[in-house]
Order: sequence, then structure tokens, then C-alpha cells
Amino acid sequence: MKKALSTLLRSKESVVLAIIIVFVLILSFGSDTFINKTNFESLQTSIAPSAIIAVGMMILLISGVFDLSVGSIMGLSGVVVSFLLMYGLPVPLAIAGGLGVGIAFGLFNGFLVAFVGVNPLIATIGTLYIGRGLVNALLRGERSYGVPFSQQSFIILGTGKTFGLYNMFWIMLLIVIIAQFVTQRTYIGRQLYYIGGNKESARLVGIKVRKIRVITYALSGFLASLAGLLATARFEVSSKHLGSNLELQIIIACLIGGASIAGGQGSIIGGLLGVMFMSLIVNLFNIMEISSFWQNLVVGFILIFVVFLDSFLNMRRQRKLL
Amino acid sequence: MNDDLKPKQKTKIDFSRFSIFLIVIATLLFLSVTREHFFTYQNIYSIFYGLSIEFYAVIGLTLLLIMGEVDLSIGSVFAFAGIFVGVVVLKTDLPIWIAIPISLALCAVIGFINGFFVIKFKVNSLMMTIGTMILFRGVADGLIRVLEGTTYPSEFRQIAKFKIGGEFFITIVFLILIVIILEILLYYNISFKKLYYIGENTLSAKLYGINTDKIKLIIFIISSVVAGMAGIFAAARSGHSVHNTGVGLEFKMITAAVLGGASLFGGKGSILRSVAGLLFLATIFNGFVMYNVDPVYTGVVTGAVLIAVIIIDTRLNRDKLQY
Repeated sequence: MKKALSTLLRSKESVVLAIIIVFVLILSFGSDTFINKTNFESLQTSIAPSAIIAVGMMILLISGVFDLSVGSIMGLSGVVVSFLLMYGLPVPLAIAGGLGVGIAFGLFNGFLVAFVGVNPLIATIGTLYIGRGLVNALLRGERSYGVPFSQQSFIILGTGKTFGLYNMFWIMLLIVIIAQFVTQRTYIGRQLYYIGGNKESARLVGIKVRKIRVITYALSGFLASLAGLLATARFEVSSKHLGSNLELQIIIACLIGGASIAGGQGSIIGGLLGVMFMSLIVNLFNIMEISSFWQNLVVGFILIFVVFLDSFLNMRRQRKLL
Repeated sequence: MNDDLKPKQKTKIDFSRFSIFLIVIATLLFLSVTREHFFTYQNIYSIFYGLSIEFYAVIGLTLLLIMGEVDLSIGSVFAFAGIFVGVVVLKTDLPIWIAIPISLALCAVIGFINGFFVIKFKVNSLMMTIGTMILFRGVADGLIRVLEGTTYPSEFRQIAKFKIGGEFFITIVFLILIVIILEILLYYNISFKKLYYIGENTLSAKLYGINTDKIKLIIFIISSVVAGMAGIFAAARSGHSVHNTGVGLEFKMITAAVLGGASLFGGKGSILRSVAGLLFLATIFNGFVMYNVDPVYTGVVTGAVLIAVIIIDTRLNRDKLQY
């Protein structure tokens, strides 16, 4: 029990959680506007889509790859669903269409990486360009201010609340809990860690690496498009800029939350904490009305500090083992 | 063992070494045949002039990729160096030939910070340089507010337009000289060969007595300094700096290097092939203009071409990597 507690305290998740708690304390005592209904609402809607994407990204990072196209997929799905709604398609069909875009992009990424052997970085940069290019192509001319729609049953996904929390926040929590359970407690999930730890030996013990790659990329695309749908429902209009430059933020959040580019490390909860951390920083700056110039400086410093701390603790642990 | 470490065989031609050149030549031929204005002196010259400004950044990155490290901060350093020189020249009395060395020295400090953390604390270079990328993007954005959109003085703008014998841009001469010298050194010089050994297996390189830490630190510093040089030339060329200067440059350079056969896992790559990869990207963008592609579609076409090329390239050659 004591040993379990000490590993828990030393895990990267608890470091991030501690920093988040410090942040929340500073914010709640230092500012009158932090503990405030509007601010909590805006935090929920900024965390939920990012955290949904981070779940997919974390699963990929655990198995040793990543996906730079999530931001573009998010944007494209939002645009596609708003077009389908504008043309008067029934809401479930429009949602299926939006999610289908994400799954198709994800399957394509997975196929390129697993079966053609394209470097994940290049493959997903390629689909990043294609997705963003399609968004720009669809939303040009008179459509450049977005595609409006008015189906209430769709908008409720983004703006509706249940038990005081936004619907999208509940959806996010549900996804995080399921994903956390699957990755930590089932054989399917543990396979991801095997692959991330050593792909070749995972293949040799009979894990179907290629199949899992395709499925996880499709899942990442699906979650990115789900986030795009929820964000579009929240804003009640499609946007050209939805999800641009999001991919790096999500990866940074996952790295802060304990993932490693080398693979084999990280947890879904860690990804959620990383996203919360990033959102809280932005929130802090907005509340204190500090310009984005300082925002970048501080985020950069924090990232360097977190990766430094992680390596430092790692080195000390290794020295103890020797 | 990979291709770059094998002793040269005269009997068998290794196809994979040349695939990027074949792709570049095919693209050039295709554009020359289908577009009459493509293969003109003016147009080819402009492609190479653009290349001669940006290629510095790909050099440092390729050397790092050979060692299995990466530097994502080059885009921010690129922006920072150019803007810093502009600020010094505009806001102080210092002449340009003092401002540029100061700026490059600061870039060297950034490279030192990257390298120091990577070698001393075993920080993953990707994560470390994402940190410095964001950090110095912030610094560059702060500096750009000082400029307030002013155009740089002509003495600064001249450095990218200096011509030898009134004909050749000095930057193009540099491009050719630097690529040839570095390519020869990477093939024949024992110190440069060490980079490949480090990339193949850092631990065994260390056991064989190679000072891996020192070499890595030096290359990180070089990477930042050359990215800074590219940034200064680019700022001088365009005459002013804008808010998103150099955003995404790191991915462009990595794409070019990977097209040229470098691997993110180290041990592979060559300067000449990386520059050829960059030339390919420049040609593609030039082709868009030649074909009057509506700018909204460039993203789609870039992505599609990129994926098509890399599929062909992966299928044609290289040991069948799996990710």
C-alpha cells in the first residue's frame, strides 16, 4: 500500500495535478472573476473538445505514433456537418456524415502508416494540408463567414446542459472514463503499451500491429471529428479557423500529462490533466489580461521545466537502481 | 547497417540514393513540357534564389537528424534572428555588421540551451525544442511590436541582393559551395562520419571513444546559427518582418529532409538530398503558380502531392520500414 502510494505520488500525472491545484488556488484567491459561473462555463467548453481529441492522441502516443491532422479533421468535420444541416438533412444523418469524414481521414492515415510504411509525421502532415485545404475550398466567397444552421436538436449538443454541466463535458468525461478503463484494465489496451514499448517484439508475440495502427488512427480521426461537431454546435456556425494549429497544442498537453514521443508511456487521465493545465494557463492570461506574447513565453518555460523535471526524476530513479 | 555507412560498391548502383533526384528531375521535366513559361532563365533563377535563402535551415536540421535528434525551434529562431537585426538597426546606432554577429551569437545561445538540456539531462530533443520554439516565438512576437511594421533600412536589405560580378546573387554561390563542401565532408571526413555512428547507436559510439556529447552540443549550436542566418537573409530579402514569419518552417524543413532520405530515427540523410527535397517543394509551389491553381486549393494539392511522392518513394526503395 505504501509502495503503491509512493509510485502514485512520483508519477507524472500527480506532478501535473499538483501544478493544476496550485494554479486553481492562485486563480481563486488572486482574482474575483475566476470563481464565476461564466468563467466555469467557458472553461468547460474549451476543455471538452481538446480533451476528446487528446484521448485519441494519447492512445496513438502510447503506441508510439502521433497524428498531426487532428486539427484539420476537426475543422473539416465541422464544415461538412454544417453544410449537411444547411441542405436540410436530418440531424442524425448529418452527424453521421461529419463523423464519417473523420473516420475516413483516420483510416487513410492508418493505412498510409501501417501498410505503406510512410513516416507518421509526413503522412499526417499530408492529410493536415488536405483537410485544411478542403476547409478553405469549401468556405470561400460568400461562405467565408461560415455556414449557418438552425436545427435545435443539433445545437443542443453544444449548448445544452445536464445537471449543471454542459452536455459536451459529460460526453468528454464518458469517453475519458471508457478509454482509461480500456487502456489500463483490458488486454486490448495493454497491447498498445506493448507496441509502444517494443514494436518488433510485440509483432513477434502475435499482436496484430498493423490492424491496431489502423484502428487507433481511425479512432483518433473519429474523436477529432466528434470534437469538431461539438464545437460547431456550440458556436452555432461553422468556422474556417476551427482547429487550426490545434495539433501541436494537443501533443504538448499529452507530453505534459506524461506521454513520451518514444511511446509506451502515458495515460488517458494524464492527457486530460495536460489539457486542463493548458486551458487554465490561457484562462489565467485572459483573466489577468496579459498579452499573448507573455503567454508564449510562459508556456514555453513551463514545457521546458516539465520535460526537464521528468528527465531529472528519471535519471535519479535510474541511479538508484544501479 | 544502412546505406550511408556501407563501403562504396562500384558494381551495383544503389537506386535509393538517387530517388529524390529522379523525382525532382521528373517534376522539372513535367512542368517544362506542360508549361511554356516554366523553363525560363528568370523562373529557374527565382526558384534557386528562394532556395539559397532558406536552405541554411535544412543543413543544421539534416545534421541533427543524422544523429537521431531533431530541432523544432528553427522556425522561431529564423523569425527571431531577422527581427532582432531589424530592431537593432532601426532602434540603435549600431551598424549592420555589428548587429548581425550579435544576432547570430544569440542564436548560438539558443542552440546551446537546446543542446545542453538534451545532453546533460537526457531530455528528448523533440520536447525540448518544442519548448524553445514556443518560448522564442514569444520573444519574436514581442520584438516585432517594437518594429511596428517599419521597412528595414536599405543597408540591411542589400545583404540578400549582393551580386558577384553584377550577375550572380552571392546567396546562390554560397548555396552551391556549401552544399558541395558539406556533401564531400560527410562522405570522406572522419569527424562527419561520426555523426552517422552516433545516429546508428549512440551508446556504442560512446563506447568506441567518440565524444558524443560534445558533437551533439556543437551540432545543436550550428543548427540554431544557420537557422538564424536563413532568417536574416529572408528578412533582408523581404525588407520587413511579419507576425507569422517562419511559422511552420520546421515542418517544411523536416519534410524536405525526410523526402531526401533522412529518418527521424537517425543514421541516415545527406545534405545534397535534403536540399534536393527542399528544391522539390519549391518547384511544386512554383508549379502551382504556373498552373494558376486557385490559392484555396494549394493546401489540398500540396498534401496530395506530398503523400503521392512519399508513397512512391517508400515503395521504390529503402529497407521496408514499418511504423
